[in-house]
Amino acid sequence: MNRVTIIDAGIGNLPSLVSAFNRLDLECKVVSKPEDLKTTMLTVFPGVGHWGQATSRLLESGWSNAIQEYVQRGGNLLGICLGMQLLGRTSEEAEGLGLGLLPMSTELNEAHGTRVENLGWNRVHSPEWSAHDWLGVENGRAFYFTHKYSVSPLNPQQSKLLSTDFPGVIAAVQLDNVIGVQFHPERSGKSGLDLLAKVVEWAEA
Amino acid sequence: MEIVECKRCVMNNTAQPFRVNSEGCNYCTPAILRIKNVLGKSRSDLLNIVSSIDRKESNPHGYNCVVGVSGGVDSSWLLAKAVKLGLKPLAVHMDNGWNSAQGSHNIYKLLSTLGVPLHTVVLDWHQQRRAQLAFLNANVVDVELLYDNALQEVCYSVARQYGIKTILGGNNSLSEGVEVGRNWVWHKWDGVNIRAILKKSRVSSANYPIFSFYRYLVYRYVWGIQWINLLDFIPEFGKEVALAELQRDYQYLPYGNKHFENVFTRFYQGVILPEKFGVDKRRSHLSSQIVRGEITRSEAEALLRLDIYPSRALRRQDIESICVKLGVTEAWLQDYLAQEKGSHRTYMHDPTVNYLIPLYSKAKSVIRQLTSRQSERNN
Amino acid sequence: MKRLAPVVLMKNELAFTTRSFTIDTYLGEPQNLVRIFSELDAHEIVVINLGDLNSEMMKILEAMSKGSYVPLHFAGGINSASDAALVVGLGFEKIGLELRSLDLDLPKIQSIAERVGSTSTSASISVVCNNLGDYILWDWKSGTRSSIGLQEAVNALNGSGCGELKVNSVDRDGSGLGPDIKLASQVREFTDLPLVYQGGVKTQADVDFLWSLGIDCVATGTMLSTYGPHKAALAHYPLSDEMELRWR
Repeated sequence: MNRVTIIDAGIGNLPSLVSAFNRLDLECKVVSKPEDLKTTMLTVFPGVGHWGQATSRLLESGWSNAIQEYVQRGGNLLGICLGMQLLGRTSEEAEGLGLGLLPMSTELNEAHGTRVENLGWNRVHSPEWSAHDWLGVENGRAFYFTHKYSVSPLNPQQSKLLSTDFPGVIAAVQLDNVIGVQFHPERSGKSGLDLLAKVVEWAEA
Repeated sequence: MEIVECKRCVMNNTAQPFRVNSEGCNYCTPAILRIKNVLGKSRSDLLNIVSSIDRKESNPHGYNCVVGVSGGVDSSWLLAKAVKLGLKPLAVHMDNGWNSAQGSHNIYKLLSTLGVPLHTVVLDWHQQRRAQLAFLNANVVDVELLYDNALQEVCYSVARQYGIKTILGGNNSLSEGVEVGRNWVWHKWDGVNIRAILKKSRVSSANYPIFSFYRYLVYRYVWGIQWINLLDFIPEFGKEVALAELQRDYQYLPYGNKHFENVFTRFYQGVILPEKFGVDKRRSHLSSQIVRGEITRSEAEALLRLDIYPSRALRRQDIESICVKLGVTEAWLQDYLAQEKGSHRTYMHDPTVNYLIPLYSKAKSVIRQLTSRQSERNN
Repeated sequence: MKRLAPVVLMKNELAFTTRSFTIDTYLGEPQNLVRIFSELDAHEIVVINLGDLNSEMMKILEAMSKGSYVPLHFAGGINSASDAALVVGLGFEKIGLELRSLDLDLPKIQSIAERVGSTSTSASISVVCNNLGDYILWDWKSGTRSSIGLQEAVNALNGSGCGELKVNSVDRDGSGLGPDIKLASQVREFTDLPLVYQGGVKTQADVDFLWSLGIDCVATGTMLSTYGPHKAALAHYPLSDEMELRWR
């Protein structure tokens, strides 16, 4: 059984992610056809770009169904950046429906000063209701963010990490076998690599 | 091939020529004498050398010696020691495009904490890449001849450039007392061989630092530059001690193995030597530690059973970077590893360094053995 | 969180530092530098190419992207939105465009921002002082001063769709004389965009000061790629523990 599968739905930035898993000495397989998404220990769903274009792409290609079925079968899923947002239902950015795997929608960032773009490193911390050090991420760890929109879960308990530097931004969510992170772990230096390793450990358990 | 082992150290017949004797072998036996020689040195021997360096005319910047730093433990500890002894070193580093992050960081931490200035010679990358490929294409065993030879030329030429009369080298008998297998290396002063191997692959050696016996003579006797292996005057030097001090005083990041501060060198020692030539260079490093009394033979054997690379991920990463930077595919690399071994001897080589100098060294060591036996008999 | 970014500048696929925008110290093989800075956990690496975006360069960029675990910014030879998309597709987080002419470069910046997103588009200006002590743009390609003043340039960029502005001090570049504080402060006043400053940075104190002025990212070639009185090539970066203390 493959350990880590990375979805190439034409909306993600894969080379760095593959590199990151290789760095952790983990075999990963890139899958570009929905029918090839088999049972695996962990599937990673990266995404960058525009909500509207991404949602139509996912629907047309059959990836929407494939991912939904995978999760319903109990498969572990990690969504990154736009990939995390696509786990939800709708987005203020554009028309189109997300995968609906998590009860949440995506909204424009609350302005921080005059900026809505969150571009750069943010320190994260666990919210009060979250178990201490979710997935072993200590408070104050920094990750790299680059986004204008962020998720807003219906149930706050699903938020596992919040940004300290950009108030209102939810850095990570989790519901059962689905995890989403707004930042780019493959570009967050040692912190990011550590997080990927912890997600893999979580998936194995 | 049937493996014949030494019973004292961990050298075996992958090193040729290899002869066992009643106590050990032809690698560890001379090492004992070398190490004993160093351990017999007194503090005043060291201070005499230091004051002779001090007395030499110093250059306009005030430097009285050059210390080659690679980021490795030996040269790093040597530099720190030189400063403690009151010398004013100029550190010299040769960058062949393969520095590891830890190596670079360690050099920076060491130098900035000690306040020692640095001169870096950065090799022409386009030429360097082609020169390394030329060595691979020749299928010869000593791929590092290029680096080791160049480093000497660089140290001497920088010393000359700055008007410095002394170079402190990191070679030493305590951590390198047991020599590497004679068939694992070629003579490090053989610039003729380097030029011939490069020429075969149509790589220009113009402006590439290449050392030779002739250049040694000029540097030594015309420019008056002396190379001193200062660690051979410091009996308290030891790998473990040195590493601990460096970690404590300079937050030194260890590499896992000797020479692992250079990405290409660790690939050479971790992949090329074992897979293409059946050679594990750790045998000689560990044998030196056995003779020095730092580890036991069974501890050494246990270490040898481990993979040379500290992790598979690092090995894979290195293979990828090597292929990308050299401009070859992994298939080419696999093919290279499977190809028949070539010999340095098939290329033009310098008779002086290959025949005359070994004869001279052998004579010296025989004389040393005879006089040591003589003094033992007298006592 | 404030950033300190090493700059890896390339010409003919080799890395160099510059002094007032002319080639200065040779640093060697650029992919290795990117790898080293990534391993040392740099906040971001700025890669600049003085040349065209040809297939050789694309191969190098691809290797750099695979070899980095920190964000990458690329500038140099980007002439169109499709160039930008190609480089972003290789895994670079940001594309830098130099503003030298309002007519030619602004529309380019706008189309790139539309194509790859404003968060991936960074606009860069190189600035010199004219005889009257005013800041004006410098066109490094032709080696001449332009007639565009600093405020005019920044105003134009404010509405261009770019997500970040990089200001380079030509006079201070590679000098180690410290940053041009006046320039940095003025640009900070003229725009709310995230700001990157490069030119003359020598010590961590310089970096801290720029951060305190509101500069989001301090970029430097010389400070992190060389060491000592002889400007010896040596890549280094403050290790993360130390950076903790300096975080603003």
